[in-house]
Amino acid sequence: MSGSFYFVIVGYRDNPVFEMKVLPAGKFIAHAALDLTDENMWLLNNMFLKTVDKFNEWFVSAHVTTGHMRFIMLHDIRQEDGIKNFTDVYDLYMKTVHNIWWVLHQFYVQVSNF
Amino acid sequence: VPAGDHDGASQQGQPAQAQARTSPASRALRSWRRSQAARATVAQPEKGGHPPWASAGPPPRSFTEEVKFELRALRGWDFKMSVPDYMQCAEDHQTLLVVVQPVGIVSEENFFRIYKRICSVSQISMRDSQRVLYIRYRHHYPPENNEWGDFQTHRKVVGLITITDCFSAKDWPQTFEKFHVQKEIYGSTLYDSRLFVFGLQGEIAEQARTDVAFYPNYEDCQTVEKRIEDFIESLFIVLESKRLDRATDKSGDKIPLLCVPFEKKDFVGLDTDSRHYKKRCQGRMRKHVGDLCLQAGMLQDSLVHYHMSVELLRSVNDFLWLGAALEGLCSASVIYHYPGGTGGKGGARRFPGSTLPAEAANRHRPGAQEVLIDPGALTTNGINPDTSTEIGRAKNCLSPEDIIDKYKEAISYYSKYKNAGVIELEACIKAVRVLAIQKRSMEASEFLQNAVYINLRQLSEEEKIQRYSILSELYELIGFHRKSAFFKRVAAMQCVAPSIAEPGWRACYKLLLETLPGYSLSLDPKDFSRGTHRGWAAVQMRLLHELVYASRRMGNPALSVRHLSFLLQTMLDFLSDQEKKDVTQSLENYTSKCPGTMEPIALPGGLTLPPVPFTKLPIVRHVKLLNLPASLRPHKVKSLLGQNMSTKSPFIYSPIIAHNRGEERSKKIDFQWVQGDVCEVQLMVYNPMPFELRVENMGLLTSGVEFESLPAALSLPAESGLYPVTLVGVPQTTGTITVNGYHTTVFGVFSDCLLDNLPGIKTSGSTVEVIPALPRLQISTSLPRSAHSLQPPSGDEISTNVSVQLYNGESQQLIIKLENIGMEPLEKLEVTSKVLTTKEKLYGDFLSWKLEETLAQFPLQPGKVATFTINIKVKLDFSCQENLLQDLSDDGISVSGFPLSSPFRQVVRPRVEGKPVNPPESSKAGDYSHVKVSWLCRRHLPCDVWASTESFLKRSFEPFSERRGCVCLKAGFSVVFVLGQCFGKQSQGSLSALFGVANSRVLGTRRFVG
Repeated sequence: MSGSFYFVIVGYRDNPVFEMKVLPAGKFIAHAALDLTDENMWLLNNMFLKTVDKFNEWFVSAHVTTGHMRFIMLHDIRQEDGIKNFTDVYDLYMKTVHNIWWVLHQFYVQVSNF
Repeated sequence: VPAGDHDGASQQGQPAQAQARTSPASRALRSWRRSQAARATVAQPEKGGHPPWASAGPPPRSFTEEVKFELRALRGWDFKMSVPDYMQCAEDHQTLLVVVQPVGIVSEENFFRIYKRICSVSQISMRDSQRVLYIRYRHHYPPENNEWGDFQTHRKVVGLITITDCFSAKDWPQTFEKFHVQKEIYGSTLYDSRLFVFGLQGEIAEQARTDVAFYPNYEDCQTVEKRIEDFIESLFIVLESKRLDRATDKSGDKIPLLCVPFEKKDFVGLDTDSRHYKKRCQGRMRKHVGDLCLQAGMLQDSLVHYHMSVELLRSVNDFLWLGAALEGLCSASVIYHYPGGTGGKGGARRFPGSTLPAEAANRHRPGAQEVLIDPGALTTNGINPDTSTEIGRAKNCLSPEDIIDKYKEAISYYSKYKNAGVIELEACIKAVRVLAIQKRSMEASEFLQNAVYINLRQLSEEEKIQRYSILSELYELIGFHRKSAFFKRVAAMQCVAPSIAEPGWRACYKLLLETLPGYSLSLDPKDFSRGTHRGWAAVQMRLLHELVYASRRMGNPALSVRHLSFLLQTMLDFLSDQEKKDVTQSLENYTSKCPGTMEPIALPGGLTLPPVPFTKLPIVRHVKLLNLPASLRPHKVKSLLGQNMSTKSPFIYSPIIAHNRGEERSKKIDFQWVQGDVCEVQLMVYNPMPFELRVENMGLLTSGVEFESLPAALSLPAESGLYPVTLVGVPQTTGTITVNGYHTTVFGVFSDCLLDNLPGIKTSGSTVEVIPALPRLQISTSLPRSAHSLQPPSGDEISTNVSVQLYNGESQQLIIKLENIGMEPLEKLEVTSKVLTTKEKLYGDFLSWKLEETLAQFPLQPGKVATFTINIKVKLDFSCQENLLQDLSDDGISVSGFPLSSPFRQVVRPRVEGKPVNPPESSKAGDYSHVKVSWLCRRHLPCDVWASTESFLKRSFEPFSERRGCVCLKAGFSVVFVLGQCFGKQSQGSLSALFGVANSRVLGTRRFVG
C-alpha cells in the first residue's frame, strides 16, 4: 500500500491504546471520526465498517471489536480492499488481549517484576 | 473542477432522453452519491507560508505544522453566489422577508430598540381569514440575494421599514429623499415600505400618511407595533393579489419564464414557442405560486402546486427549479409535521403547539385534491373549513422519510449548478435540522459532509469562521460532539489564520474553549483526580497548548499560566520527559511575569476557570501528624476534680457514645499539641519529574485553630523515591486543629492542596487537639551527666542521669538549677527521693534538702532561674551490723547517679477564680506546676575496681550488677572485697597492709583511695 497512513487503536474512553505513523493532525481527524464510527457500528453487522468518514484528502476506515475497541485508519488513497487486512491486526490484538498482563483499555501496560 | 459540477447552461437546453429510462429519483440519488464522491477531492493542498505566529510562540513544534496543515485544507474554496444564511430552516419558506434599516445617522442603541419591537410582531393572524402570516426581519440583507427572490420567494425582500432621525422641518425633504433611495435598492421586489421618523414635530408630522409614521422621540412611540401590524396587513393584501394573479394564469396563456440571475443570459434566442419551453415556464410558475401560497398561509394549496410543479419540471429536466420545487414540497411538509419548528429559535413565532393540525385543516383549501387534477380551478381562497380535504392532505404531504429523500434529490439537482452553491448549502442545513429532530444522525451527517465540500465563491475569513462554527453547531445538534469540536477548532484556527491582518485571538480562544467538552476535557482539575483518564490525551494536550498560546496572544498571561498549570497537573502521566522539561520551562517563563494563584479566573463568557493546585508536584503519599518530642509532651495531672468530669455521659456504656467515640477516634489522634509549641507534620513525598524539583514556601493549611505555619523550601532529586518532609508550625490558640492540606510554590505557581482531593493518600487522621500553653522547665545540675541511665526510659518520664562517687562519710552538694524556659510561671515544685535498694534501712538517708528555700522563689516567672540544693552525705554505720561488710562485699555500694524527672505536665489547669473546688492546701492562687525530683540509688560494683581484669570484668559485670552475689567464678578462684575508710595519709599504710594480706592469694587487686 502506498501513500501515507495513520493507524490507531482507540479504547472506549476515547483513549488511544496504540498508535502507528503518528501524524499531528491525524489525531484530530481520527478523533472526530469516532462519532461516525460509533454511529456506524450499530448500523452494520460487520466489524469492519469500511470508510466511515473523510476530511479533505484523508479517508477514515474503521474496524470495531466486540469489546468496543476501535481501530481507526487514516489513509489518503481510497482503497477499501487494501484495508480489509484489519483482520490481521485484529488477530494480533486478540493475542495481546489474552495476555493476562495486559490491562485492558489502559494506556500504560504495566508488567511488574514478579 | 469537480466532475459533478456541471455548468447550468450546458445542461439547460439538452433533452434528457439519455436518462429517461431510469426513474428520476434513483437517478438523482445516484448523482448525489457521485457528486459526493467527486467533491471529496476539492480541497487541494497548497503550500502555505509560515503563519505569522510560527516563530513567536512557545514551541509545541508540531502545533504550527498542524495549523499549517489545516489552513491548507481550508483554503481554495471556489465561490460563485450570494451570501448563505446559515441560520436558515425549513420554516423560513413560509415567511415574508422584511428589511429594517436605519437611514441617516441613527444611534445603534435607538435603532435596535425599535428593531426589537418590530421583531416582536413576527406573526399575524389575518382578520378576515384564518391564515397566519409569518415575518422574518433582517437589518441587513445583501441585495444580490434579493435577486434570487423569484427562485424562492422567501428570499425576496417584500417589505422595507426605514428608521430615521429628523429634528427639523427643513431636513424633512432630504430625509424623505433618502428613504426613496433606500427603497430603490430592493425596489423591484418590494410590496410596500414604511418610514419611521423620530424627532420631527409640527406641521409635517401632523399630516396623516400611511407610508410615514412620525414620533416625537424614541420613548413616545407606543403605536409602533400597531403600525407594523397594519404594514403587514398591507403586505398580505399585495401577496394575496399576486398569488391570485399568478394562480389564475391559465396554462394556455403566455406565462413569463422566471429565472435565476445566472440563467438570464442563457435564454437569449431560445425558441419561446416550443412545448418544452412552455412546460418549463409553467412548471416554474407553478412552483412560484406554491411559494406564494406557503407564504400566504395556505399550506395545502402550496403542496398541491409543488406537486404539479415537480411533475412539470421533471418532464423537461429543469433540474435547478425541480430542486426548488422539491425543496418547497419538503418545507411545506416540514411545517406541517413539525409545528414546533426546526430552527430551534423557540416556539414564539410558531403556532401555539398542538392546535396546528386543526388549524392546518381549517386553512386547507377545499377541493385541493381536485386541484391536482384541474390546475385551473385555483381561484378560491382558503377560508372554508371542509373536512373532506383530509384525503387530499394525506396524499400531498410528504411523510417524514419522504422529506429526507426529496431533500436528497433536491440537493443532488442543485449540486449540478456551481452557481447554486448557496442554495445547496442552505438546503443541506435545512435538511440537517429536520433530521436532527427526527434523530437520524447518520443521514444528517451525510448531508453535513456534503455541505462541508460545497464550493462557494471566495469566502471572506469571517464567512469561513461562520461556516465552520455553524457546521460545528449542526454536528452538535445531531449529537456528534467530537465532530462538532473538530470543526469548532478549525473555526478557531481560522480566526488566527495567517491571511488575516488582525488575528482574532479572543475569538480563537473563545471557540477553543467551546471545543473542550467535545474532547472530554473540562478545565476543572477535580474531574481528573478520580478514575481513569478520559479522552485522547495527545489531542487534549495539543488543545491546551493552543489555549495557552491563544491566551498569551490575547495578552492575558494569567490565563496562560492557568492553562499551562492545568496541562502539567492533569496530563503529567502522558508527558514525555522532554515535554515535561519544555512545559515547566515555559511555565516558569510565564510565572516570572505573572505568578500563578489560587484565585478562580472568571472569563467574559461567564465561565470560571477553577484554580489548579499542583498535587502531583510533588506527589504526597503519606501525611502523618507527629507527637511532640517527649520532653515537651503534655502530661495530665490527676486532679481532685475527678475523672468523671471527662466522661460526659452518666452511663457506663452507651452505644451512641461508643459510636461517636469510635468515629472520633478514627479521625482524631490520641495525642495533643500545645499552644505555642512547634508542632510537626510529616509528609512522604516524591518527585515524578525527570529533573530536580524545587518546592518553595511549603507549609501547612489548617483550620480550627489559629496556626502560624513556618514554610519550608525543599529540593527533591529527580524521580526521587519517597522522601520525608517535615512541615512545622505553631498553634497560636487552643481548640481542635485540622490539617486540611498544604500549600506549595512550584515553578512560580501557588497551590493549595487539600488532602481530601488527593488520590491515593494515606493519612492517619488529621485532627488533633491543641491544649493551652503550659510552663516548661529546664533542669541542669552541678554534677556531670552520666553516660548510662539507671532505668530504661519509660514513655512518661523524662530522666537525666548524673553520677557521683562518694566514700563513706563524704558529702557533696548537688545544685539543681531550675529554669523556666516557657512563657508561663512555674508555681509548684514537688521533690521525692527514692533509694533503689533492698537494704535501705541499713544505709539511712543520703539525701537531704530544704524545699522551702526553693519554693520561696516560686512562682517562677518566665526566664527566671531557681536553684535547689541537695546535700548528699554518705554515712554508713558499719558498727551495728556484722554482716554489713559481707553484704557490701557482695553488692558494693555506689551512689552512681540519680535521674531527674522532668516536670510533669499538667493537663488540667484549674484556675482559682473559675474552679472553687481547688484543693484548700493550695495556698497560692494560680497554676500548679509540679516538679518532682526523684533520687535513685543503686548499687553495683564500681567498674574501676576491676579495670585491670577487663576480660573477666566484661563477663562478670552484668551478672554482678543484676544478681548480686552470684558470680560465676572459675574453680579455685575467689573474689575478695576489701573496704575501708581512709581519712588520712597515714592510714593508707594500714590499708595497704590489708591489701597485702589479700594479695597473696589473689590474681589482681585494685585499690582506690578517697
